[in-house]
Amino acid sequence: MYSSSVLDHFRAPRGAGVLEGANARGRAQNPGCGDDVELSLKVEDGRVVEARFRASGCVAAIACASRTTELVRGMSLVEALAVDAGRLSAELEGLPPQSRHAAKICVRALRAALCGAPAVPRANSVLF
Amino acid sequence: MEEAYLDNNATAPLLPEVFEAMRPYLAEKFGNPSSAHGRGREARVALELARERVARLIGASPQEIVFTSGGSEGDTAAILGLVSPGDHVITSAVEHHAVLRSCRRLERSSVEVSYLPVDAEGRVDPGAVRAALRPSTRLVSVMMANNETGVLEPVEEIGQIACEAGLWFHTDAVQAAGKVPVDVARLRCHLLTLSGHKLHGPTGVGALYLRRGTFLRPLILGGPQERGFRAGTENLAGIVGLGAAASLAIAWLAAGRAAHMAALRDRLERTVQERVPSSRVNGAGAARVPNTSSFVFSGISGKALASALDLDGICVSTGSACSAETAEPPYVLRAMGLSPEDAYATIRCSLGKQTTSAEVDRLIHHLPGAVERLRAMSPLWRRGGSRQP
Repeated sequence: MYSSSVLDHFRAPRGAGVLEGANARGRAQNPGCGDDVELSLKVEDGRVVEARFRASGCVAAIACASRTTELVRGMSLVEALAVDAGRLSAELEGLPPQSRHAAKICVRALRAALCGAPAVPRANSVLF
Repeated sequence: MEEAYLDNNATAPLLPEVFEAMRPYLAEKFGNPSSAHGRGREARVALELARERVARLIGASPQEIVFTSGGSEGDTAAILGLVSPGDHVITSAVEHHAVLRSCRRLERSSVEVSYLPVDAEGRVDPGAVRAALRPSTRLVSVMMANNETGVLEPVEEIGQIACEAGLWFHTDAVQAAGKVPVDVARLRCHLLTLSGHKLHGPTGVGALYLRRGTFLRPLILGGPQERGFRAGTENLAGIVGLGAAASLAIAWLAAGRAAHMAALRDRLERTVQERVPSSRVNGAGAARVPNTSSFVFSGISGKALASALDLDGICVSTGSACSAETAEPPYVLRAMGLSPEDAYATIRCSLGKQTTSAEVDRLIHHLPGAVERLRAMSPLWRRGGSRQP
């Protein structure tokens, strides 16, 4: 029922752990099912240069968090903010209907992290 | 890939002898037990033989057995079929959904329900049953063994209290029958629910024990089958299978196999707790059926662990069937006082009559590494061996 991509990320998660020197962190929890995702990012000049995750939850939650760290690396803050649950699901060749909440929780964690990311100096802003 | 099937509380595989007993009734012995001709008589004989076998498993008379479609029907029929508006029902917080949701429905019909709490081991206090009695109390329904933890409830004491108070007593014995001796006389119950596939019989069949003289409004209306308590042409192949499974369960218990199963379960629990730090067994301090281990591995998600083990060919389940945003919290474990994190960090391993030592070893081999990998990436786990506050 899971795509091969989801299972691959679950079996061999990318970017698991805590990022030393992270300057943006976000965490989202779903008390309804116990899923808990934390993302730590290093943002420089308005761009995500490194990302790590920690997650406790179902296969899809771990796979989504893992894919998120790959996906946002190198993105501008605007690009990263545009990542939504649909994009994340597509990146993983689709999620079963009962697992779509996993993408949503990762997006919430990502947006929480991005909201706390250091502001970009106006002169070389990639945000505006 | 070799498989280890350790989810027998979800469904226990059909034993080959049961399948062989059923086979003719899926093909050439197709008669309807209500028919007056030879085919019908042949079917009737098989039906009544199965009834005797099921009755023997629980110490009942054959006339007290009503065949159903399974545990949920038995529970629902028992709960909805006895009480009337204005009555009061006593049950526990850890019952199967079939009981709890039937009680919820009754509450919408002016029936009051007391949901008794359990202690940290998952046991209902019989004294709490006595304390909850009211003049309007009609029914007490407390399960014999819990499906998630295997904890045995003090049903004999509760049955005694219900008997003294002149109340109907129903017990859901779905997870107990075939694993521990069940005797309706000792339990003093009026109703008892059984399910076929939990005792290595087929799915889609079960039985409700209805003590002689107990009036039950039938859930399913129609023909006079099952003495009018359950209409509908009988699922004969399934019933024959249930009868065969009941006979095998009687022989299995008489041969002392439950002690062997308990020894295998104990070895599993001991070894896992030795090899996995911060692990424990829910309900370990209570009497339990010999096949169920409910493990908490702090700091991880039971869902992820069950999936990781599945990839290694090991079938276990989480403490609850949680899969979506709208999923209910694992209410049995929460009722035992577990934190939400620990309730979600639970997996259930349940052995069956066919479970081998090698299957248990396979779980023991894969489990520590899987837990360690998941803890390493969990925000709930702190390096050094404890759960994050």
